[in-house]
Amino acid sequence: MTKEQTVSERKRLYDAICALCGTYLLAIEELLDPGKCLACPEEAFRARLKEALVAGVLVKRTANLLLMSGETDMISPGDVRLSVKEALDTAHFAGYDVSLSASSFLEDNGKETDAKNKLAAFCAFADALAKECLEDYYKTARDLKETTFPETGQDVLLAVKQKIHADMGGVLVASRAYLSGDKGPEGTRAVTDNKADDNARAALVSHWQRVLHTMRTGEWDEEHPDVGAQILAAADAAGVKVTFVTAVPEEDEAVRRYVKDASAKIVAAVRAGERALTI
Amino acid sequence: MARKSKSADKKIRVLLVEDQDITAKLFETFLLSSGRYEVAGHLKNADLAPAFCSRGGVELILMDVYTELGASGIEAASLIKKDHPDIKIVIITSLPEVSYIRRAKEGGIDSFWYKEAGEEALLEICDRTMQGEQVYPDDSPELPLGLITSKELTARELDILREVARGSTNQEIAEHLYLSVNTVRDYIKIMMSKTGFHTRTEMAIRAREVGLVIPE
Repeated sequence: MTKEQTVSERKRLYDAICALCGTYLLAIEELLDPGKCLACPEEAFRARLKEALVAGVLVKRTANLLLMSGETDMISPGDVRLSVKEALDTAHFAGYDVSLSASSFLEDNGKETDAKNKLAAFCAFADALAKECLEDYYKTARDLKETTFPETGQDVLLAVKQKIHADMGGVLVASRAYLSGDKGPEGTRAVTDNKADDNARAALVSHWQRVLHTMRTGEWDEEHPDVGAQILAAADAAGVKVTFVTAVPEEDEAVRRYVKDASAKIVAAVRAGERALTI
Repeated sequence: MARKSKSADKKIRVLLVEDQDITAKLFETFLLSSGRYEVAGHLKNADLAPAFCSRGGVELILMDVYTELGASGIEAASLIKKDHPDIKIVIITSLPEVSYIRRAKEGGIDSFWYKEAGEEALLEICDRTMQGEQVYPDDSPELPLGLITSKELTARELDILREVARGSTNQEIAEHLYLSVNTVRDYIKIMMSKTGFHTRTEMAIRAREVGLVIPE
């Protein structure tokens, strides 16, 4: 598959996700519009962030179930249960007193069921939660029937899944840290006078904007990891001196094999009591 | 003056395997702030973790499910557990899925938890794991209810128990859960027989007390 084909498949997948989660994304875009949320009082910002947090977890979990339905025709009831549990936990964290009054659709009888039915069940739950928690920002429920899963290769599907996992997962971690007052790269805030560190707020909003951009466009910058440095770090911890005699390949799959082989060679060297290695 | 023993000062050495810098820094801050842990290293690619751990010196690993270049944290963790069963491993992910949890258990991985959990919860999972406990998110707490534990109740029975605890009548429960009144009555009778409670009120109060149901 060419790079253009990969990008095009990826975009189609993101389009399908946006069709399903568009109302939640719209809510986040309004809530965390930099023009509105950067200058507002800290209390108002935190209220907006809490709503965005709930919308974000619904995006993450709905998108994941949709992608799972592309991987397999059947979804375990346990996956829907984990999704509901996480969404409710996030709503509780954000201060909403919500609970599920009927949970029989989550019952795990050990049988996997039709993925579309499970996705529909979660969407119904997600809509109910969104209506409860997003107040003015949740407008209309979308029509699940209009959502079709595009033909996608498993590699692209996995890449998108990993990207959403990293993006939405990362920004939710950072947001919860901010709201908890945990010290962290974006979570750091001054607690005195109940004033947040403006830089921390701006960094967090900017983080959300990047994630939203990827969700809407399916575009992101490919990172080229410095695997050489990481191999050296692992070798150093193992007490093995590594000398590179081959170049790190360019193609992703080849880099993966290169790293795995390097790791195996270091382990073998340690077992053999060797202190030096060429890769 | 009391002197601390050397072992009391010894910190647990943790390897972080996480491809997101922000998340890794946050975890590092959490661990260091506890005073009980120190960070032995940070890798972005799980495939290098077996090499990092090969000479020992790592006691706990916090491992992401997906890492750089798509390297699988669960696969790497399972490999490490084979060679170094004494190293404790917690899989930390933003997206727990049943298949990941099953594979982690099959690989002998100690614990599995949510990235979003926050400082207190993360440290609690680390502490419990270091004490030999296995902590997984799909293990719902087993709470005592009369003669049985909560695990012996079905999801439908829990639905009805939740309604009973809220003070709903059989008629109201039937309407809320789309059941017949007779079916509701049968469910309650079965639950009372299982738990050994003589009245529904007694059963409802106990369910509330142990935190099994949280009425709205």
